[in-house]
Amino acid sequence: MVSWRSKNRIGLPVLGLVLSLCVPTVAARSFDFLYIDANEGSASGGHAAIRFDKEVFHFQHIESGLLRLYRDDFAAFRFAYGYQENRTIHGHRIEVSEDFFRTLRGAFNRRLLIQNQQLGALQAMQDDLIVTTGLQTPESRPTIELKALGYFQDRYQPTLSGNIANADTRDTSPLLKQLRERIEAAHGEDFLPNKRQQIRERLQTLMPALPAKLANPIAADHFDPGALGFARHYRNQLLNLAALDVLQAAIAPRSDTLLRSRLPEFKLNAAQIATLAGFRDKLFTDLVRLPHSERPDWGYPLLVGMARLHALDASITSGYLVVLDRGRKTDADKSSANIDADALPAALQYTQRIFAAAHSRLTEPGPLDERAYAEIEQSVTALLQVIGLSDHESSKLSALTSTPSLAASAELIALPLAPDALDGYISAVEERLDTYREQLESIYGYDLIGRNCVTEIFRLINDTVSRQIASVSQDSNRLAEASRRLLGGYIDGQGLNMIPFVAFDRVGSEYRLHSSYRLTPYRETQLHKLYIDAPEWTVDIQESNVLSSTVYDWNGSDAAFLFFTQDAVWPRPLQGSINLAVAAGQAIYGLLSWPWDAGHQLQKSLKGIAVSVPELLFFNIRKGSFPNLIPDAIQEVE
Amino acid sequence: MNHLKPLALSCIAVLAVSLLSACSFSKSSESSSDSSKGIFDIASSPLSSGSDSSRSDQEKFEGDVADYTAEFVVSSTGTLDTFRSHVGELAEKYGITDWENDRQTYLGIGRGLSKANLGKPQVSAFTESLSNNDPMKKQTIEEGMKK
Repeated sequence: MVSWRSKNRIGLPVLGLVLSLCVPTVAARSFDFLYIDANEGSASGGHAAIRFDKEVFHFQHIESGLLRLYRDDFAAFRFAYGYQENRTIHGHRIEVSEDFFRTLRGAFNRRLLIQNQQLGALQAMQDDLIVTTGLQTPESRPTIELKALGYFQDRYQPTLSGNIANADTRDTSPLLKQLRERIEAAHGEDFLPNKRQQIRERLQTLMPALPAKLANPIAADHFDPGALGFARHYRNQLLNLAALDVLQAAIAPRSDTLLRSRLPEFKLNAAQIATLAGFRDKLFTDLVRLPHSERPDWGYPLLVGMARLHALDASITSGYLVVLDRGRKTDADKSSANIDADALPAALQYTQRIFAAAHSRLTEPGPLDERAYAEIEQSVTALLQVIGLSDHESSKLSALTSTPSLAASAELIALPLAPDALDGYISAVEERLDTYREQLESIYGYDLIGRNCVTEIFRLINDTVSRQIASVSQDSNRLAEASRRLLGGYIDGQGLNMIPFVAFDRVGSEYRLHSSYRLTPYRETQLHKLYIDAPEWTVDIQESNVLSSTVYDWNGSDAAFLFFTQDAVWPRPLQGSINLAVAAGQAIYGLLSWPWDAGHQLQKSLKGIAVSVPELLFFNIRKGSFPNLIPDAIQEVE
Repeated sequence: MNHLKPLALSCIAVLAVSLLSACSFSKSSESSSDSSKGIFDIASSPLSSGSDSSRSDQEKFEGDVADYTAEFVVSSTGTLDTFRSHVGELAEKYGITDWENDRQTYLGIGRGLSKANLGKPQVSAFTESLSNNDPMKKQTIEEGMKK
């Protein structure tokens, strides 16, 4: 890897320049092939991606063993890989025609759409199993989660009459009473009771239909919109019913789901209050229409809207911003962030800036829309979360939901189905689920050599090229010829091309290169800043190890180590041997701590050993990571 | 040639380690419906692209609706309920709950219809069904078709 890097730092730009001089200037657009170098952890073999303008597509190996395509903003991609994971991103810019650029980008978008659709179908089948299994045992009062209902209730028990449990002990809402009256005035006095009756009847007559057998196996290039599954229909109807019951009972949202603060930044002036009042009036009108909507899940926007009406009203009457809590409450999920006490000022500054940007929407000309209001909700939630951490040593910030979706448990309504019918349905879904998983595995199953993040990029590029040939041809010569015409060269995912850095090298030598670039990782960027104020050699010594480093703080994601070995080649074996000793020490500790940490330390130490051994042979993989970095870091260094 | 032996061994060792886990591993669920994001997720934060972030999100949402519509209308299966549900899922990713009230939804549908290159009767039928005879929605779909 070292020899490759040293060669390419000089060689590739030169090669790119030479190539760009040789190629006629027919190309109008360019896309980038990205190689992200290795680091300990998620990708010790490196990673590859393809970039179109501000969008990056990349295949990731997901928990179920599949290779999934993701589309990210380049800024977010760079922050995650280049800063938090501290990995160098190398890019080759490839010249293509405007037409081929659009076709290729369309092909990646289409693959994303199809794969998401197929994984959604898998999820729908799993939901079918959960709901029908619950319906098998109504005596155990099974529940499902209904999004946004949590703003009003923590548990929903549907009744025949529509009464909500303990509604008499809750604050009543004049706003919802007013809304109910407006709906009755618009659609008739019987509209709401009739609507409720219809929903109950629909629920009672829902029949779990046996999934139709697929005529053909699913394919990565075939779009099938499918049909809504039984569970989805059931959930929609239950959600609509719950929304109507909340409206009927006219209960106010639970007070702990509204975020209030008397901080000066939340104070509203008259113009801002007028903007919010305009948005509230528009929302009110939209809510009157919603129960008449043809969308199958209209209960969801109705619940969100009813909760927002209260937040808006509280803002207008108090003169301070009040919003729905957008923090995710259910789990300590992957998106939550750890904030150390040291990082709190930066976190506070960052969330204040987000808030200021969102808040400025209140003073912009023109009416506020849902997008802008949602940004305000999110930014207030984020800011108040960070402010709330100031008394703690270190704590987690919960993830934010992209729409208000605080969930509540809703008890299932039993359906008049014979137990045999449910059993038969469950067996059929289980069988179908297994078949579907097998099919997904066959087209998307991760395989170290045959199907990884690199092979799939080349496969999709070459598929797109072959579609450009007038007749669909399996002739590899014709494909190669077309690829040379469109991209300047032909690369397949075979042989060593499946290794990210080899693939990057091949792209540089085969495709029509416009230019190449290297994006420095976070630690290196910070070192360059330190070089400005101190002699290089003192910085190098200070930052060579985790004990004296001012840039790096050891974090739970990295295995124990002492020396950073990416900075210099010749001391690498010596530093690596010490790192190996540290990893061995962690392994001994891991053996002792196994009974109470379930082998966590031992597992990490093995990773540490795996990335220390190559250092003995002059190769570097580990770079140290910065998982708790805050995006302000980008603003500082760029 | 003997001096090349350690180098070859080194390469094999590095390759072996590299191959242990090529490509990033993501703990994302199989479902495409996870709509939460980290508090410092800059992908859609207002700071990621200055004051234009919403505008950029609007364009992305419109593009996603267009892509989905184009595929949906040429597929032989799929009901309007399926279509509406999926558009709802797309909208939620961009922070929208009431997508029926969002102009970008109908612009996207129009763009998708145009992309699918359908005949006029099919376009009219689909437009009628989705706009619920709302002239503003119809007009926005037509506007999207001209984009």
